[in-house]
Amino acid sequence: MLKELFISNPELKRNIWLELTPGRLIIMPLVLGAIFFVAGYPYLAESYLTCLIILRLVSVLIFGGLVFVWGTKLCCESLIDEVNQRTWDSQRVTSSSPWEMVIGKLFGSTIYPWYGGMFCIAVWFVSSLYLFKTVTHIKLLVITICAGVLIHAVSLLLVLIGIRRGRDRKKINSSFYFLGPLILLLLFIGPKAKYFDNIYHSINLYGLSSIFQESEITWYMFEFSYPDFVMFMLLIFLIWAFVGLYRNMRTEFQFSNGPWVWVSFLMTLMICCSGFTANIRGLKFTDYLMAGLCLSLGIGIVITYITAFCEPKNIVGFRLLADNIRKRDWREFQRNLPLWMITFIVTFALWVIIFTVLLVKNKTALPEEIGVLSAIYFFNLLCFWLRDLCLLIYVNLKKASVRADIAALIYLLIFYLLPAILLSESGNDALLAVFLPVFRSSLINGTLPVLVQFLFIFLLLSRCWRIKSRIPDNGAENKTA
Amino acid sequence: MQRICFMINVENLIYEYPGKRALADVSFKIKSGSVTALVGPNGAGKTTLLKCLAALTKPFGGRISVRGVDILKEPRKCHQMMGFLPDFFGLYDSLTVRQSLTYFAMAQKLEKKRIPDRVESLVEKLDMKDKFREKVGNLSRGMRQRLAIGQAMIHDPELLLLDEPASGLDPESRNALSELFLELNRDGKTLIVSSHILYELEQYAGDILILRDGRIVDRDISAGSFEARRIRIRVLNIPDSITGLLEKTGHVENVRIHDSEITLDFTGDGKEQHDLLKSLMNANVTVKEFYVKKQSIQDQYLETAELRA
Repeated sequence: MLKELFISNPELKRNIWLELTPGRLIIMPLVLGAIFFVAGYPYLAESYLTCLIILRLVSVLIFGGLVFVWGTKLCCESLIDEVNQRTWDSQRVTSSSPWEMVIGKLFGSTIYPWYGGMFCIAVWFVSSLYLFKTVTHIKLLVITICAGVLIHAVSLLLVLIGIRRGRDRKKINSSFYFLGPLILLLLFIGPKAKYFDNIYHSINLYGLSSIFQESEITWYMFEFSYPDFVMFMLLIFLIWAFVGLYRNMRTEFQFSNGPWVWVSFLMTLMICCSGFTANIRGLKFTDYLMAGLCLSLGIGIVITYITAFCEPKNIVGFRLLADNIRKRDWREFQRNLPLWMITFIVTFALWVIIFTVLLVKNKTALPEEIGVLSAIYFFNLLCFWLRDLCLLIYVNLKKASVRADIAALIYLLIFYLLPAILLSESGNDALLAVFLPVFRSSLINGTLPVLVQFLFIFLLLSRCWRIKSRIPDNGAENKTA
Repeated sequence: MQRICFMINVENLIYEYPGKRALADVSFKIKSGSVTALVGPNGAGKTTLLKCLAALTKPFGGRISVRGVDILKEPRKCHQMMGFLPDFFGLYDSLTVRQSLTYFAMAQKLEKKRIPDRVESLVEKLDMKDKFREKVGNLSRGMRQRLAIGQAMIHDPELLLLDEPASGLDPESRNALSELFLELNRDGKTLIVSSHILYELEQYAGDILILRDGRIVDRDISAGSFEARRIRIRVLNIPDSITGLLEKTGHVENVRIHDSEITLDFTGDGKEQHDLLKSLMNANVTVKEFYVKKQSIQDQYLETAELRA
């Protein structure tokens, strides 16, 4: 298995032929050596510890540039170039397995940045051995390496989804797939970036470790130190990123995927996030449970939106599902279900549980009376959620172009933001519940208007479906007419 | 009785794009060892059909099997049996010819020790020996086409699907390509070739599949039917009884008379053709010219197109 994946992997070999030429193999250590020399030499006379700190900092920065920026770019382009240069179809008809292709693309395309990154890791590792808090620094090193692999995997995953969306397009632009994960990463580490300044300006020996001097994290009943928890979560999401890559590559290779792996991912995500409710002190067990359920519902709703926007939503897919239902071919129906529908079904099941519990507990008490945990509030939330999904599908069926999603996004922004701004400006905050899922609402000023909005969009969608779901002609009739 | 072995069996294939049915209930069978020309106007669904056959795109409905293997259930197994050359194919310009072929040989899971021999024999077959170590980016259009075909057949597949393989080639390269297809066919390969250049298909195609508006045109044109001959006779004076005289032979159809020229479709063999000429001479018809024109794929295609219109 490992031999097939790494040693005799044709995609990996092809990338090695292209990326690791003798010239490039020599240039990289020479350039890096020169940078390290220029950076560290002036401090050598001052103190060797200062020099090591500088070398460590420089190695971190170069590693970031090589692996996170350049590596992510190459990783995206490895697949996008195949599509743009029309070699992807030739790859898809080979006997390479989805795993081989995933490994080949993920590590093959980034092999040169990783080659350079290895020198940085060596400098980082050696400098950490001579400096204080060695274990902490080694943990940070492991986290950085895992994060590098994760960002490559996520960008490749986005590209695979993008290819499926733009199957009929001649060219795919790599910028979004390259910049998207990088921006996310920056948002994640942004608040922590200040510690780099500390090191750089004050040559603070402990500067690099300041990230780890935060309080411990409680996850369910477990207490984790910050780096341990980050490593734990990175490992979980790295595994899921690989599973996601494998499943998407299977789809590219025309294999069918069932819904259960995606359901397992959703459950993992919900369980992972629900663990953080343990940080809220002084709740009863049932409250923790409810908080976890509500958090999971929120995650489910967000994932429904993300997947609904990311996946193709053309009439053919819907007609195929309708055909499966008509023929009662449930096996095929499961295979053809888009991820956003699976997410919707799972999340809707959660909604039913929460709604039922709240209905039994609080009857039809208004949100204003008992706070956010009111059945009415969750009903409003469902209406908003359904309205948005219906609108997204309606625009896609109507427009049937790649811009349909952008149009739907603009409509949604207008629906949510414009009334909110206007009402806030005019001082009519009470009417906000008609346009936003705020919990200061009543039946008249909240539930009914939202229900009407949903029913109106649903009516439009069903009319559009009736027209579009007819068997399309093949043009012959038009020509003979 | 000889049992016909089918390489491809397509049943009620349906493929849809949003708002358009690209393939509508397409059914056909392709014999093993045959060369089939897939022809039709632009937008008829040729590329879509080939992509469905190559298990590169999932149809809306229907069933496709290659040597009895369902391509929807076992796409990888089918890929091992086939090679596919897309219409706008791409090559890895930074690799050499040898590296390109070696890469595809590895990707097609050829035994490691067999790869160098296979690559060399293929390069010889493709007449690219002198380009062996050359970068793909430096190859001419014709050579690139040959390399792409080489990549598609590196694993010695039984079936080759070629989408517009001769487009953009000069006459010399096109002729060499036809020779290559004939050679592959002699080796027992089954070929499906989509092309616009109909007169070239005639050089190697034994069967023809006409697609129009996503449907197979209901007409069987095959190697046998190429033998249907069209005879053109020029005479000095046309006697009134000529139609009756020709029809009496029993092998004449579609007699058309224009000025001093008679055109007819003749279904008989060589001996009966001789008898036809003899009967004309005996009836003192002043035959000035008598020539036989085999009906080409192009003639048949255009005729079919005319009938459809």
